[in-house]
Amino acid sequence: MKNSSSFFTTIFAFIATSILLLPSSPAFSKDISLEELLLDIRKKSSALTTLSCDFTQKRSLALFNKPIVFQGQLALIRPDKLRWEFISPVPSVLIFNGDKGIRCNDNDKPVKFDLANDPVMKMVAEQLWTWLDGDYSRLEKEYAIKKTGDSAILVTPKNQKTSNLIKNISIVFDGENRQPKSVTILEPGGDKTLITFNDYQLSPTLPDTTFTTCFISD
Amino acid sequence: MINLSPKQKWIIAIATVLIGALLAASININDDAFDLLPGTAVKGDLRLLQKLGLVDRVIISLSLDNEEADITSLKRSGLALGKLLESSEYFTNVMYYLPQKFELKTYQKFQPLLPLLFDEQDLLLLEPLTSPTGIESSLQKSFNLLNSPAGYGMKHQIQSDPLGISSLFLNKLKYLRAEYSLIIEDGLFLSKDRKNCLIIAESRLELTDADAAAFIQQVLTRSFNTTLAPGVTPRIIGTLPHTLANANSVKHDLKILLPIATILLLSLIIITLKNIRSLLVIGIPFLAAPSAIAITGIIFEEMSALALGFGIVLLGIAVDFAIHLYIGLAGADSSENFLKTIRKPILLATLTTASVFVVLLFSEIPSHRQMATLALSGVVLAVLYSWYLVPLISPKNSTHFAITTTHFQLCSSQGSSPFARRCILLAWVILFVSGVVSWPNLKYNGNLQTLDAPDRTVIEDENHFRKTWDEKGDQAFIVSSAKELDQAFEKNHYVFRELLRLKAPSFQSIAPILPSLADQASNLKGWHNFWAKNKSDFSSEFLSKAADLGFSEKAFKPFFDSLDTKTQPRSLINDLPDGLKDLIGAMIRLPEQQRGKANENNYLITTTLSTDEGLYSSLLELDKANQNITLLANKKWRDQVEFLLRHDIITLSLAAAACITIITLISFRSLRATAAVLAPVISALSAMAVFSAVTGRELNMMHLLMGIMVIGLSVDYGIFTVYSKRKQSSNSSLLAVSICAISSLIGFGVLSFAQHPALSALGVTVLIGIGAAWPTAILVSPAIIGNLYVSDHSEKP
Repeated sequence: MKNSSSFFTTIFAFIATSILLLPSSPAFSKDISLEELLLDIRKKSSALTTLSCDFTQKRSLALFNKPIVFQGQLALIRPDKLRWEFISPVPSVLIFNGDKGIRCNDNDKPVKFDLANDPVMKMVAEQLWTWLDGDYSRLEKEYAIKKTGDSAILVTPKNQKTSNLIKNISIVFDGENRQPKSVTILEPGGDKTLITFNDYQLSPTLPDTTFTTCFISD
Repeated sequence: MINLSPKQKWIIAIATVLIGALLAASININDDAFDLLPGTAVKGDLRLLQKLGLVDRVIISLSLDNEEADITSLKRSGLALGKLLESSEYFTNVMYYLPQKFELKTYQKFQPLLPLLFDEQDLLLLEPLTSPTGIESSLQKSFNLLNSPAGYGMKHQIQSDPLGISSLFLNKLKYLRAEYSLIIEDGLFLSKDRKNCLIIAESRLELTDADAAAFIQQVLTRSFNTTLAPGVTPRIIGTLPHTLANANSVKHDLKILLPIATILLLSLIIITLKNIRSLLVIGIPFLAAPSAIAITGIIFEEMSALALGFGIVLLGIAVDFAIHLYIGLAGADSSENFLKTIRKPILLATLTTASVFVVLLFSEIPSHRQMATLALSGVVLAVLYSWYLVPLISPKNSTHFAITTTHFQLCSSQGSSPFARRCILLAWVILFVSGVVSWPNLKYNGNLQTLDAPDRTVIEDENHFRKTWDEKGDQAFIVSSAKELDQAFEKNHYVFRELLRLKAPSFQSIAPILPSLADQASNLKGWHNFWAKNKSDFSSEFLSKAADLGFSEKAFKPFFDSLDTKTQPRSLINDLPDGLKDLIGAMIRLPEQQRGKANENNYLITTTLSTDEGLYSSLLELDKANQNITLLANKKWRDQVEFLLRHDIITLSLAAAACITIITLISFRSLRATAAVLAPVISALSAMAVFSAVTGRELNMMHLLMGIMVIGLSVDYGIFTVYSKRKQSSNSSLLAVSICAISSLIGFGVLSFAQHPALSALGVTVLIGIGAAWPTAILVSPAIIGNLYVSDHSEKP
C-alpha cells in the first residue's frame, strides 16, 4: 500500500509539477539539457500559486473488458490545498486541505480523514506537498528521468518496491504552450492509465468551498 | 539442682546467644508480600498474576507537560526509549510500536485463513454481502475505488476481496485493542490529544521485592536520561512505584520513630528506676531473639522480613517479666523469698501469653504463623534469660524509684472504699457493654490496598494516567490454563463466547483470531457449508453485475479461487506479523516464560476486561464452574480476605480468650479472681471495638495481629495485679505493671504516628488497648478482688 501511495503521489507530483510550467519557456527548446529543464521548471512553478483545469482519465486495466473513461476537474492552491473531482460517469471528490481531507461520492456520506490518523492518506499528502514546491531534484533521488523527445520525458522508479507497481511514467507537453497534454502511467503486466489535460486556468480565484465542500452544487 | 555462679550464668547466656546468632545468620529472609495474604486461594490467584507477568509489568507514560518539547520530540523519545528497553537484559515483552499498516498486513497474511476464523456469527454477517443488493453495492464501490486516486495499487486487494470481507476480519482485530483510549500514529501509541506516549514492558526482576524494584528504578532513570528529549516527562505506573513507596515509607518511619521510641523508653526506665543497670532489663529479654529466629527459620525454612520485624516486636512482651523481676527484687528483703513468690505469676503469665501465640499459629496468614512461632519461642527463652540474669543485675533493697510504691498504696487505699469500688466497677461495666454493642458493628476491610502506602507522587501519577488514557473502572483478568497450548485456546474461546453472551461491555481477547484447532475445524465446516449452499446463485449474480460495470470475466478469479480453499486447521501464531506477535505474546504465557519449573507450569491465556457489579457475579460463577478458568479481580480477593479475616478475628480472639480464661480459672480456682485477671483484657478489647465503631475505622489484618498481642499483654497485667493482692506483697507489682504499660504505650504510641497505614494501624490499636487495660489493672482488678484475700492473710500468724 505504501508503494501504491508512492505510485499515486509520483503521478500527482508529475502532474502538478508539469502544469506549473509557464508557457513559452525557452528552456523547452531542443537544445536544453535535462538539468536546465529541471531548473527552469522550478523557477516557473514558484511563481504560480493557484490553477485549475479539466482532465480525462482513461484506465486500461486487465480487470476491465474495455478502457474506463472518467471526466473530471483539478484545482489546487499552494502549499496544501488540492481538489480532484470526477464528474462522470461516477461523481466523486478527493480533497486535501491542510492536515485534513475529505473523500466523497454520490451515494455515501462524506468520509473525513485526519492525516495524523490515516497513514495512507498522510503518505500521499506528505509526498504530494513535497513535490508541489517544485523542487524537482527531489524526484531524482528515487527516479531516473530521461528526455524522450522535444516535449516528452520518461520517469522510471529506481526502487524495486515501487517498480513492482509502476513500470514508468511518460509526460508529453504541448509544443506551443508547454503545458502537459498527457500523463501515461504504465504498470507491470501492461495495465495503463492515460490522463489528458485541457482548459487550463492559471491563477484563478478559487472560493474556499472548493476545498471544504464535496459537491459545490449541494 | 545445679547451682551456677553468676559468671557461669552469663557465660551460658552469651554462649546460647552466639549459637542462636550463628544459626539465625543462615536463614533465608525474603521480602515476599504473599506471606501477608490469608488462605491459599488468594495467594494462588496472586501467584497466577505474577506468572502472567502482570505484577512485574511496568507502564510508562511519556508526557509533554510544557512548551519545551513538541510532538516530534515526544515520538522520537518514545521510539528511543522503547528500543533501549527492548535491548535491555532487564526487560522483556516491550510494547511501544506497531509497524505501519499492521492491520492491513495482518489481513493480507490471514486472508487465505479466513475460513478457519469465520464462525457462525461472521457467516451471518457475510450473508447480506452475498445478496444481490450486497453484490451490486460492493462491486460499485470497488469500481469507484479502482478509478480514484486512492485506488492505485489496490487492484490485487479488490480482486481478492471485492465484497469487503476484510472488514469482518478487521472487526475481530478490535478485540485486541487495549483497554486504554489511544491512537496509533507513526506506529507509536499516543493519547488522543497527542501529548502522551505509552510504553509497556515487563521487568525480569520481581518488582514486589524492594531491592529489585530499586534496581529497576535505577535502570529506568538511566534510560530516561539517555533517551528523553527535554520537556518530555516520564511517569511510571504499576507495582514498581508502590513497592518503592512502601519500602521508603517503612524506612522513613523506622528511621524517625525507632530512635524516638528508644529514647523515650530508655528515659522512662532511667527516670523511674533511677539506676543505669536498669537499662539492661530491657536488653536481657532480647537476648532470646537470635535463638527464636533460628527456631522459626528451622521450622519454616525461610522467613518473611515482616514476620521477623513484628516477631521481634511481639518479643517485647517479655520485657514485662524482666521489669517485674527487677522491681520486685530491688524492693525485696530476700531475693530467694521473692523469687519463690513471683515464680507462680511469672509462670502463669508466660503460660497465658504462650497460649495466645499458640492460637495465632492457627491463623490463615503465613506471616502471622511465623510471627507466632518466633514470639512463642522468644518469650519462653526470654523468661528464662530474665529469670536467671535479672537477679544478677537488680539492685538490692532499693526503693529509690521515681514513682514509688507509696503512690500505689494511695491508689489502692482510695480504691478500697465501697463507694469508690462501685464507681470504678460501674465505669468498667459501661465500657464492657459499649464494647459488646460495638462488636457487631465492626467493619472488616479485606482490601489489600489498605496495607499499601503510596506517596503523593504515586497517587498523582496514577490519576494523571487514568485521565490521559481513559482507564475505566476496575480491571479484571480471566485466565484460561491448560497443559497443552491448543487446549488453552479452546478454554479461551469458551471464555470469549461467554463474555459475548453476558454482553460484557469491553474486553480484550485473542480468541477471535486464534481459535483452537477444534474451533477452526468447526469454522471451516461452516464455511464450506455456506458456499455449498450459496455459491452457484451467488456466482451467477456476481458475474452478471460485474459485467454490467465493465469488469472482465476473470477479473475476480483470485476471489473465487479462495472460496474453494484447501486450507486445514493449524497453529496460527506463526502467521501473525511481527508487531502483532509482540502484542499477542503478552496475552499468551508459555510455561518457560513463567517463574518456577517449566514442566510444572501450564499454558496461560489472558482476557482483560472492565467489570461492574452485575458482570462480576457472573464471572465468579464462571470461575467456580470451570477448573481451568480463573477470575483475577480485586473484588474477589477482597471478599475472600474479608471472609478469612472475619473468621480469624472472631475465631482466634475467642480461642485466645477461652485459653486464658481456662488457665486462669485453673490457677486461681476463683471466679472473682479470674474476672479480676481478665478485666484488663475485656477493657482492652472493648475499648478497641468502641474506638473502631465510633471512628468508623475498618479492621484489617494488622489489627488482628495487634489485637492478639494486646490480649497477651493485658492478661499479664491482670495476673500480676491479682497475685500482688493475693500475697499482699508490696505494691511493686503495680509499679511494674505501670512501667510495662507505659513502655508499651510509648513504643506503640509512637508507631501510631507512622506514615505507613499498616504501621499506624498497629500503633493506634495497641495505644487504645493498653490505654484501657492499664488503668483497669490498677483500679478495676483490685476493685473486683476487693477483700477476697484479706481473710486469708488475717488468719495467718
